[in-house]
This record gives sequence, C-alpha cells and structure tokens, in this order.
Amino acid sequence: MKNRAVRKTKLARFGPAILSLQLGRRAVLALGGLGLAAWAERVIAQTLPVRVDRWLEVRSLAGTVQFTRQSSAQPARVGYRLQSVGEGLRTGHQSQAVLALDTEVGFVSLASNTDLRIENLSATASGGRITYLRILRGQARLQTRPFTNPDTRLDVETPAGVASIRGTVYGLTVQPDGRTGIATLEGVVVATGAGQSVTLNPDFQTLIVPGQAPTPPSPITNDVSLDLRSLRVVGGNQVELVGRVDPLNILMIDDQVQTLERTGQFRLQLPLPADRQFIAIVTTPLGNQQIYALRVP
Amino acid sequence: MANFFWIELATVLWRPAALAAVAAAFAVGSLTVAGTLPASAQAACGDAPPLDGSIQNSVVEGDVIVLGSLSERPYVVAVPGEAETVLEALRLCVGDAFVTSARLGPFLQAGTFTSHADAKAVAQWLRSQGFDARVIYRP
Repeated sequence: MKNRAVRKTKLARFGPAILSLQLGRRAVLALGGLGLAAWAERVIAQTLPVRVDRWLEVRSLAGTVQFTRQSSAQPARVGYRLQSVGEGLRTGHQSQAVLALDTEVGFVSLASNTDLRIENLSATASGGRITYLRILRGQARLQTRPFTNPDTRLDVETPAGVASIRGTVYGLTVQPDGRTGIATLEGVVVATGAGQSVTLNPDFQTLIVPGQAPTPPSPITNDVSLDLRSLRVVGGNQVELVGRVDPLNILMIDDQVQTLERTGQFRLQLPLPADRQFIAIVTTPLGNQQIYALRVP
Repeated sequence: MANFFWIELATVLWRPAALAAVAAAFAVGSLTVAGTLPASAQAACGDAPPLDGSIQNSVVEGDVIVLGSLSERPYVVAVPGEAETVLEALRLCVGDAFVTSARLGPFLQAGTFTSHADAKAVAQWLRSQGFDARVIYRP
C-alpha cells in the first residue's frame, strides 16, 4: 500500500518549533533567530514528498497485542505491517511487541499497556525517510543505527512533547497525564516541549510536562526503586499507599497505571485486596522493570 | 489477641496490667514519640546500628521485592505513632522505615527479623537514639 506524505499537514499542526528540529542542529545554529521558521518553510516546500513504500513490521509479540486502525482493533500477528497514518499497535497487560522500521534502520520495543500510532511515514526526494510516531501512553525503547541520509529522521510525539533522534538508543515513558520521561543510552536525542528544546547526550534524561519546557538534562538514573512511606489499613477496608518512585518512571499497581506527582510521589487509597497484597511494577524510560509485592500488615 | 501481640518484654505476658497500659497508651497516641520527637533524637543515628546492616523491611523472592508484612520475619521493631517528623528522623537510622498499623493503632515499622534477640537489639539501639522502639510479634 502506498503512503502519501503529509508534511504540510504536520507543519500546520506542530509549527516552527518542531520544524527547526527537522533541519538539524548545524542549520539551526547557523541561522538562529526569528528568520528560522520562514526559512524552514521555504526549504520544506521545495522538498517534494514522494510516494514510497514505508512500514513498521511486527517482529515479535507476547501477551495481548492489538493492531489498531481508527476505532477498530484486532489481534496483531508477527509479520503485520503498519503502513498508514492512524494505524497503530496497543499492548495489553504483561504484553510486549517489537516493531522493525523498514530498511532495518531501527527497532521500536513496546512494553505493556502502551499505545503507538503512526502519524507520518514518508520519504523525501533526496531519499530521506521521515518517520513520525505518536505514543499516547506506556513505555517504548527505540534503537536505531546512525542515519546516513541527513534528511532521514525519526520523531516520537507524546502528549507532552517530541523526541527527535538521529541514530541512537533511547527510551521513553508516557504517564497517564501525558508527562514524558526520556532517557538516552547512545547517540543524541533532542527533546522538545512548549517550543523549547534540550539536547540529551548519552546517559542523560529529561522530563517533559505537558505545556512546559523539558527539564534540564540530568544524568540518567534508570532507578527502579520504590520508596514506601505508608502501607496501612484505614477505615476498615481501604489501604493507604504512600511512596515515591523516580518521576520519569511508570508505576503500575494491580494492572492500573498510577498518576505520579511531579516529584514522583504517589498517595493512593485503594480497596483492601482479599489476599492483602498489591503487585506494583516500576518501569524506567529504558524499559528496566522491578516487581514489588506490597503485603499489607 | 489473634495475630498481633507484644512480645517485647515478657512483661507483657507476665503482667497483664502492663499490657493494658501499653495498649491504652498506643491507642490514644500518648506515648512519648507519638507526637513529638525527643531532642536527643535530633542527632539520631550517630552510632552505628547493630547487626551489621541486617535491619530490613523487605525481602527478595525470585525477581520480586516484597515490602510490608514479611511472614518469615515475624519480629517487628515498632515505634508507636505516625508523626511525619518522627518518620523522617527514624529514616535517618532505618532508611526504609514506613508507617503501618495494627489493631492497637498506627506505628512506624523500623525493621523485621527472624529472631527476637536481633529485633530486641535493634529496638534497644533505637531507644538509645531517642525513639520509643519496642518489639512486636506479627506472624
């Protein structure tokens, strides 16, 4: 199936701030200032989109994974190809999937409870491959080899911002409220939120809160610890659960992703389970996980 | 008392009056540490803990870290009350201490042990740091 590039639409939606990322850092530095956006629009207008086969192929599955298109969903299978804007993959509880980018330039690994959707798969006249994905929730890890074509790019948009890479290994988490944690293992990632960008060198991370600029890059933690401050029965059949995890992480308790405060703290009141135990899973942007059994005294 | 009773100090078993007094104090939060921290605890944990770091509130079972009630470590060092200031001070001594509760009221869990002797040693150490620590048995 052929896929028509939709760059003009993306321009209208995401504006000059994201466009500047598509030009590369050297161009940005050389131009700078207010003329950048106008220059970018002219350049991109001259780069005609071309028809080309593009896809993401399902390479492996575990658990419950759905192939989604608009409002419909069906079980995904190994070998399925996501080719059109709006198609996606949704992993369920204790499930995962690996997608390969066409031309084998990279792989996208999805952890459980993750929604991925294609926003744009296209190519430039110069042979560059444009891949624009959207992750609405969950955790993903991307691994690509360095792009040989300077026009090739791979962007991942979340409710809080955009991560742009040019050959790297990095991961991200998307909280229920859209907050996005991004950690880079190799290569360079440019993270953008609210029109401002930070560059993540290897072993650095950032957090983007929707509507705000990314936090300054800080050394990667990849910390799966759960600091429990309160675990007690209140009111007879409720349990007060208070604690903290790294704010870039995802905290899931009994299959439910929990909303964290900006500091990573959580304060929950949940029904007391019959077995007096909660299962908590902490997942870092790079996909490391730790399972905790919280046994109510 | 079904699955919760003081082991600290055999006095509890030998002297029912003592048990009643402790239980009543626990219930109304009138023990020394329940509300405010003794001044001596402000510099808590200047001394090294006993048992060479074996104080713990978690165990590892395969790939899972278990927190909270550890049935295989039934001797619990407890500090009555739930005051945040006390918890913060206690965490200078026992980094993973947390608030929990029993039928007699809320307390800070400062460690779990397989033996009463170890639990008692840690409770004594915490008392020397200014905390009203004691040992309870929670099988």
